[in-house]
Amino acid sequence: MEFPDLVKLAVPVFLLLILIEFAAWRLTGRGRYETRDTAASLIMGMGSEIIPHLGGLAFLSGVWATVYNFRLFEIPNTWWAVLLCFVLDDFRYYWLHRIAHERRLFWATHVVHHSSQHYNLSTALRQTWTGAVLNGIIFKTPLVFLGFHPAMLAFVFGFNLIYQFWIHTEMIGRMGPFEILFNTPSHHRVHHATNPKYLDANYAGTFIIWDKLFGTFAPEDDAEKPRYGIVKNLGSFNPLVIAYNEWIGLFKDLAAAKSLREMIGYTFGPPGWSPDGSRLTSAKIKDRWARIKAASPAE
Amino acid sequence: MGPGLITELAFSVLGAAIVVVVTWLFGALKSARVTPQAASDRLAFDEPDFAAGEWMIGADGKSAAVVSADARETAVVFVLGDGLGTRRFRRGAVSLERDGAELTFRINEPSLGAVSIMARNDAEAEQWVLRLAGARL
Repeated sequence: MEFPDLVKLAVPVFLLLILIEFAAWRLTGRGRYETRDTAASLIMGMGSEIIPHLGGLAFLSGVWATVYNFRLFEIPNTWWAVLLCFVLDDFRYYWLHRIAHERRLFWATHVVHHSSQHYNLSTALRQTWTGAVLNGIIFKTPLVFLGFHPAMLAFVFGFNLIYQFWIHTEMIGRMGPFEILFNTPSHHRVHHATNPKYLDANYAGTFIIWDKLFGTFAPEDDAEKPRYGIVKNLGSFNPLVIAYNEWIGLFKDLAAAKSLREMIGYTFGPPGWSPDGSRLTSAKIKDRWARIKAASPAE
Repeated sequence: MGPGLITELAFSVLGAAIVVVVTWLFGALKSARVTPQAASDRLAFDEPDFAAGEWMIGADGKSAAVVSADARETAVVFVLGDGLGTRRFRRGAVSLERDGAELTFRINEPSLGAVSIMARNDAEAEQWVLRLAGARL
């Protein structure tokens, strides 16, 4: 069974759909586009496709080829195996994504995707330049060890990425029963929102059921419009800044750390962790919001 | 990186460039304007427990500063494209420079080196330097 590179094939469709969404925004006023933001997202997207080819992908392929030689099961390249691989890979994605939000080392790569204050199809392409190897080794290798061929894994992940493209839009409202099982624009708007009530929710790739099973699901509330970005929005459209801003912050913190405990806290603690608790983590932002809400019940 | 990949990259660059040019041609290159309403709305969202005192809205509409009601903290609001961002810091934690009517906060972050705010005149800028330094005016 041959596994085509789905993402490569999808790129022209992505760009065409962005143009269609942009035209729809101009005609209806629904959604929001800004030229520099879109340019930055597209450059990040291109970088994320090119940079792994500078050595990371070869290294990852080598690791997976080695691990595949020691696989636990002989899984054939059949349709049911592809389906099973897709579901397991989506489960794997849920946990990677959740950890990427909850642990700063992984947030440093993933923050790129959340760094836009816009939520449109171009935002879907705003991808990290630094996550492929680390995330690939830690989170995908177990599936290779189980016996899924690396090419099959790449194929299903490509499909997952394509699925996640179309949900980055404000053009589509609610989707009825489809929302019970699948991730949708509404669910994913919540994920990209910085409103305290929406923080750290809806990590799903394709199947929203993982969030429902593990207690991270939050529905979109019509009374609270999502505001996108990160809790401390960037002050630049420079792709290098977008790619490395959080890494620089992490290394600065590590350089200033006074103990091993602090170094571990900065690296593996939640984003916003600090030894004296002076910075804001998601949990603290939610607490602050709850306190303010409790103090003004009329709102 | 083989020739196939370079060809694909060239097509991607071309496609992305077309998208960017189209958005520019059809009016998506926009800059937000910092108004009192926009600045206080953004700050209230980002820092809901910041009790804002007096505001200084930049004369060019590109930035603003506000001292907290207890004068212990300062927040700045800045423009990024058609959106706004904020930073909040304890008084004295960020260096402040004045050049004529222009006040500059040295934020020193990779994504935000400084935020400059244009006062209406030198006297107003000087008054704000004192206010931001904690003097009671």
